[in-house]
Amino acid sequence: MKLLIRSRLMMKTLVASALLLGSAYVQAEIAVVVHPSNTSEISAADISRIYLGKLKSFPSGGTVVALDQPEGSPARDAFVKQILNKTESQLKAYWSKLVFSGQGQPPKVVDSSAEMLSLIAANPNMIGFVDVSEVNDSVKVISKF
Amino acid sequence: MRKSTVALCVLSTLYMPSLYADVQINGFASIVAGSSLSDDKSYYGYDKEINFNNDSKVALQFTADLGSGLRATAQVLSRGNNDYSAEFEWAYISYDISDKLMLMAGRQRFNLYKYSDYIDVGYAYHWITPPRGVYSLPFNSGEGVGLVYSDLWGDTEVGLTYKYITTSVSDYAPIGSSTPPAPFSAEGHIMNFNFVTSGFEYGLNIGIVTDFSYELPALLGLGDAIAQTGLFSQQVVDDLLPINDSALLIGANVKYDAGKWFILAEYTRIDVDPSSFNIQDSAFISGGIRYKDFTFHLTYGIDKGDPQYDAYDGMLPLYNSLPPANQAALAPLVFGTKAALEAQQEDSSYYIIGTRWDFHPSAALKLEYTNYSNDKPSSDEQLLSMAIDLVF
Repeated sequence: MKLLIRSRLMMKTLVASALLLGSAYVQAEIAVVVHPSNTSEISAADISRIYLGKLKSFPSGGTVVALDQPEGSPARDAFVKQILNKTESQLKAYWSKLVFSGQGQPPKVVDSSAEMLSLIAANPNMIGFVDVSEVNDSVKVISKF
Repeated sequence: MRKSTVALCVLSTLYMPSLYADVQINGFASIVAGSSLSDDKSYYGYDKEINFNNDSKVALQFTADLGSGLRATAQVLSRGNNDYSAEFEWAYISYDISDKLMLMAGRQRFNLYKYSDYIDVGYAYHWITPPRGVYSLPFNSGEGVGLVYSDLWGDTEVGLTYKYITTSVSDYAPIGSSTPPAPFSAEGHIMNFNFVTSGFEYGLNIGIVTDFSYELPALLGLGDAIAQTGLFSQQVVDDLLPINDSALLIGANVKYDAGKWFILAEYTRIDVDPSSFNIQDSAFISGGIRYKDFTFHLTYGIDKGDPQYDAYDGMLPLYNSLPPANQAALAPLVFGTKAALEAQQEDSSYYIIGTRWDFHPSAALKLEYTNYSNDKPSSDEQLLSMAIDLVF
């Protein structure tokens, strides 16, 4: 009897953690990162504006160079959905208006999170995003989603 | 190994000052098939036979980033209705004077209305083509200089542009008309005022065309014939010919996009000096809902072209004062002038029902039905079209 209760409890815990894991997997948690020396206060709206080419300098001054993850990567999918609030098609339609009328170019795409982190660690003007689990000491996290 | 090479390339393009410019290549394409549902009628060049050429196009854009905010851009476009011969639609140098101000010099767009800047990029909007009554001007691109200002005022994104543009084409023919190609030229100032506050976009466009000429041979011939009678003042001829005339173009647009649905409206007016060109008013309202990868949309619009009778009115007093025999001799000229002034008149409405399916991250499939009816002259047309739009 005791055993049964315990195993039920275990089952519940297992199911609960599986669910948690599952949701964490579906909705990757994203950390927006900058160079450690960057002291700007950057709101979620500002991050979105930077990645849509509407804001070109940090609130504290200095040109922004935004870096993007490859299309189809979980981090990029989550970022486009949660922070830019668009579908991949809507984002592409948005950029095609700007690109083909000379009003802007989308952020540069890097190869991997490791590359993004090393680029940002070396350049105070850059901003990027990675999965929370990939953050290291070389960069500063300004926001998590 | 390969990855680190790519990483090195990215590093070098981002950091290292190089003699070679970083050249970005983008492109878009639309393959459009359409057919008029009426037996003997044509609508913007479509008839009963399925046509693949009218609106199909492929474009490549090369942007060389020379650093420090200086870029050179060329967009080469080949249109199916022009035998896919490649033409420079855009070719300009742009320079970021500051984060907010950009200078563009060279061949660029006469961006008179909301969609003018990216009218060829089907992927960027929900229709196969934006309403033709509004977006079928003789001048798409021209040469000039422009200043583009973009800023954030509180939560409102502001875009202001000023352009001075000239254009000259040797073989302009209105789309879908049987009018023979004729020289067209224009120059003028364009001002755009665009604002975005969260999902709400609104804009005002003003085009002051200081000088334009459309040298249609048949019209020039009619003008000569009027002048040769020696009966009418030069003013009558001037009021007939669209030569060295001026025009004022005004457009206002508003859009609300809630993500799951959107609604937009645009009104445009073209006010021209007295000539065979009409005073044109156009307006449309369009809305759509998005469900997963689909957009379902509906558009209703009206186009009015009011003839300017100044030339005809200028002939009447003398004509009416003549004895019947002389009137009969002059009648073909007087009523020929009236007919020429009325040739482009229009009082039409249309609706468009369509769907867009984003079946691929870079491609959309569209299906559209257009129903058009004109009271002056009376005609009805229906068009069914299908398109695949790509960007890359």
